[in-house]
Amino acid sequence: MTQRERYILYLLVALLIFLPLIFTFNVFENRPTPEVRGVYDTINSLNPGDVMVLSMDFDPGSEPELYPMALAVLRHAFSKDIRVIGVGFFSPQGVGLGVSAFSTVGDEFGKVNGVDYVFLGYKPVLIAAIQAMNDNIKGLFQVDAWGRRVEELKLLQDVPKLRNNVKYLVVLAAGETVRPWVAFGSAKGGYPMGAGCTAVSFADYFSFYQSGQLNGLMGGLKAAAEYEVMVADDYLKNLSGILEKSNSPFTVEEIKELMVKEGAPKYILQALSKLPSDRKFNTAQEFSAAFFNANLGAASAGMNSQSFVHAILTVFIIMGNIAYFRSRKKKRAGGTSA
Amino acid sequence: MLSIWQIIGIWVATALTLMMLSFLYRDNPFFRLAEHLYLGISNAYIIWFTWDQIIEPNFINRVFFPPSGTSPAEWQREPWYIIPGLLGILMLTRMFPKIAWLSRWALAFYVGYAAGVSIGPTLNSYILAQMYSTFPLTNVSFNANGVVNLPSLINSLLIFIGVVTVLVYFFFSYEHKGFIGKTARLGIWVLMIALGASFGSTVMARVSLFIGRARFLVQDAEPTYHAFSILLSLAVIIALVAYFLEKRKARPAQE
Repeated sequence: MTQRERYILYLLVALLIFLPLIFTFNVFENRPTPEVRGVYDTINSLNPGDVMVLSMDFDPGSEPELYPMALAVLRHAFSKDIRVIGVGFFSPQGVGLGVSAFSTVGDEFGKVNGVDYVFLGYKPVLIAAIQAMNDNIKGLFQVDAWGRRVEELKLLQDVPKLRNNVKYLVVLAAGETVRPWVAFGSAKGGYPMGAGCTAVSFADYFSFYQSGQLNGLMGGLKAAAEYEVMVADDYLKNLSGILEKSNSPFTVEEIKELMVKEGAPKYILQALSKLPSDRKFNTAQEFSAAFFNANLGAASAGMNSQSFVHAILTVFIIMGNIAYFRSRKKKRAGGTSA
Repeated sequence: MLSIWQIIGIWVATALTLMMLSFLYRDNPFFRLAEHLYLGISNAYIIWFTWDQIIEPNFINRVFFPPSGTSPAEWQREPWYIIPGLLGILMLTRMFPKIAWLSRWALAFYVGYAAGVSIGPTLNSYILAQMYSTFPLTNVSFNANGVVNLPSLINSLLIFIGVVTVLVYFFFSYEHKGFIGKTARLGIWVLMIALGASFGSTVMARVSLFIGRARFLVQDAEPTYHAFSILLSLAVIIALVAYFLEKRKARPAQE
């Protein structure tokens, strides 16, 4: 491949990534797959007040794939009033992402840091850390990611160890942390486990899903987008009764007033604020579609670009193969005549 | 409303993203500046973090001084933590050839601990559980009438055949001829399909990384005070400077 051809390829890929982000539209529907639904259904089956663990084992290098996944899982858990213990065993550089995810989603849902969720940060020596979490969290962590003494955190007073206390574990891994969590965390601690990973690792971890050691597996940006779709669908369900009571046409502001009157949860009001308050809708369906799209996250926003780039790469691979076989045929024909 | 520092932060991030992407053209001083900044900041952060979150709370505050905000009366010294602390310090003796042998004590302890702790769970979770789920009958599901679900049967047979044929391919005690040879050949096909699936996933992962930065440039940076137009101007400036630097380098050769 010449330098010029390489530049043309870069340019095409860049255009196919940037254009769908600049001119947003919905072409491809992200239907949730059974693997992703496994994580969603387990969290859905938990009761309010139950405790789950979210291990954010990634750093900024995998942020585009795993951070939207973390936000979607947290939004789902908090909407069900599930308490979440967060850790990050991959790298110290991932702690900032954990703090940001827990703070952002915690604020959206009006959750109290230390009571409804904690994020404990990073510890080295993964296997030892996981085993210590199973038996004594306070023995492993002295302070949380905000520097507060763990003895002062109400959630850890209720849940001093993972064994027999937590109902579910979700590991979002950029590296190899899923395996140790399976062997030393879930299997020894006796709690079910789901995982999210970068697309590169998806094939590696699929055998754990197939064996039932993971009851759900999310791979890459596509899985994050699927989870966002399910969470946005949940948000929409909260509105169905309220929309029936509104007289069309209506504005976002009018819907908001109706929702406050009906006692809708705070996070739904926040979700509604993503639409301009003076925007007018003629039908409930029109509003539902706009509300749904506004509450899809970063992963869904990137999926159109992803699909276009995959399509163009498939075309190039086919073209490359045709060219290769033609040149081979020509060489053979030339060889015979000579 | 964003603060001025947040806006500056977004612009700096935008400029650094473009500097990193400039490597697609070729290696250049902008790329190297961004690369060195990344490495320097990462290392500084890790050093600070290791001290603040690991060494200080786990060693210093357990053995020597109470953590800040805790009065000495409330604090309880845990002197036995001096042992892992010392073992940790012994690891550093590798930097001094004359006493490097001391680090073996720490390594021996660590290897012994890791092997002892890992063998059982590793055998159970990585080998036995995986082997069990490879056998066809463990993966077959039945419908309400007790009839075998055909797709699950096909799936489980594929898994079994795939695992066995790939294992045969990596089995070198017999020459790959006859039945063994044919089975190993099938194993190669299974491996090729698996590698193809992995490659597809890898493309998705790499494109996702670019999408992450592109989304930042277009959707996150853009609404904040027209940063998108600024980044386009920056891109043009970087491209022009890169072009003139290149020209200047090429001139003496022509002369």
